[in-house]
Amino acid sequence: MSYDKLPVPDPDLASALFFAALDAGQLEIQRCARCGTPHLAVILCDACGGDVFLAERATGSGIIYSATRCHTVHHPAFADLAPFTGGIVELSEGPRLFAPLIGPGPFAVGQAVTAEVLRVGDRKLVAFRRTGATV
Amino acid sequence: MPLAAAISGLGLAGLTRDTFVAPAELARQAVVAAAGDAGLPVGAIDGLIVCRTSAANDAVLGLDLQRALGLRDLRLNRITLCEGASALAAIQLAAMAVTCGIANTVACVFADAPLARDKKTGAAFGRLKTSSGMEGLRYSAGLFGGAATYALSAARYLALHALDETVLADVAITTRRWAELNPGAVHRKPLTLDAYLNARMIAEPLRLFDCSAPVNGSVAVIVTSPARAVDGAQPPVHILASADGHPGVPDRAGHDRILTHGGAIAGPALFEATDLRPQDIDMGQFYDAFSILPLLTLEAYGFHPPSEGRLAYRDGAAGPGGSGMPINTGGGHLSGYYLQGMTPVAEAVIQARGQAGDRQVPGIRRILVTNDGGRFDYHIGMILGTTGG
Ligand SMILES: [Zn+2]
Repeated sequence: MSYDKLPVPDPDLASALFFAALDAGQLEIQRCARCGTPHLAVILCDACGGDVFLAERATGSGIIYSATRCHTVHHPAFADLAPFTGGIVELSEGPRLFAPLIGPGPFAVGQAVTAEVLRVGDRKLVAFRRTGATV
Repeated sequence: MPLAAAISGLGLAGLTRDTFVAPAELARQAVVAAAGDAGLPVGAIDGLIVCRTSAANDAVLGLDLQRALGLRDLRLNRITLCEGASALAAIQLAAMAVTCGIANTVACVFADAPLARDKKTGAAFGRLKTSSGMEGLRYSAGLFGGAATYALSAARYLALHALDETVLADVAITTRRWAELNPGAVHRKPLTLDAYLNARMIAEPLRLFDCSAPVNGSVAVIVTSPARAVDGAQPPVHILASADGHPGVPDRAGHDRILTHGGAIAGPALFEATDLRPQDIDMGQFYDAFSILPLLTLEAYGFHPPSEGRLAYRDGAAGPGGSGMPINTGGGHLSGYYLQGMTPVAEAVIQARGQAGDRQVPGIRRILVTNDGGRFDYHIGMILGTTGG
């Protein structure tokens, strides 16, 4: 299976550091320097109003917050993958993000998963595999 | 200050899956029909509010429509953008404008023509999106269109509450029973559990009949003062209260963004403003683009505790002749027609006036209408009544 045509979003103001780190191969969170709340993309901390954040390398472990196996194809990059699974992963540090769920399933709510950085052209993307599943 | 406004006219245009007419023209036709329904010349309209959609997204939409309708000296011309909640956003704004004397007779219109290129629903709602930021990662995950994102809510809901897909089937099947009685509905063939389960999977756990039935069409309403509405051509439908609830829930542990429905914010405001309780509501016209939504709406508004929204549908309680509160009596989005927030508004107006024919529910006094937009980003609720506050 090939993931090298998946669409990758452009960074915006809040996510610039997240995508810069990811393009360098690292999954990073931004922890609020004032209250410790973990974020992925942030300008102002919604918990305390702080605007200083400390980059922290994420462990890459998490759980599936929710997932769906999609049977319809809306983008050519997914034509060979259907049915494929996408979901929202909750990192062990707390923040959540949309991500492709790859490798053997099933992908159930609460299932432990591990991050894997995929190369997509000159960009990178984080996908997740069931923890312990073989590549 | 309480709202003092009523819906005096309703106009529908298009509502077809076979013909493409440009959304701007559908909107013009619906406004003309709504004015006619209210017994007014089009020139009596002094306010215009257009719901922006992906098909009707021109920045000069309101100006173009004003010119197409030949409206002079408008006192209000606005565009609302709350995705699926844009219809109630427009009607709420119209009600406020009428209450405050900014305008007297406001047309609110939604138009969409998603079936422009072909009749494939997926093509209609899965247009390629250019994206940026964390939200754009949903497309990297393959989650295009509303079905995939609401499937995430449905999957989590079923998992958290240890429920199975028959809970969703009950919503789809009950809603279809209403559509069987509505000549204007898209899907009118009786839906059995087998047919529901055998329909193709879209995004698990959502199957074909968990998803709305798109049409090309437009709905417009005329909002005016209660006094003018009483003198109109139709029975007035009073706007008793309207409230927003946009949760803004963070995407991190300790929060549950995909199950946090804005009805929990709007509901208490609506009930306080009207001095009503959930049990005083005679009918629900809920946004049901996907079958999970009415369940979450029922729970957010306090009709049922979390996980028990399904009880509203048990044994067909919400269906024709059922023992409970009737819900989505025109077939909703699921079996009726999908014109976003205007679908529940139109059916509420028809039922409140007593013009629903075979599906008319007798003795209706208070109707709760809801609109949802984005992935639980926007929510607006409104209570309509056959008599004023
Ligand atoms: Zn903070």
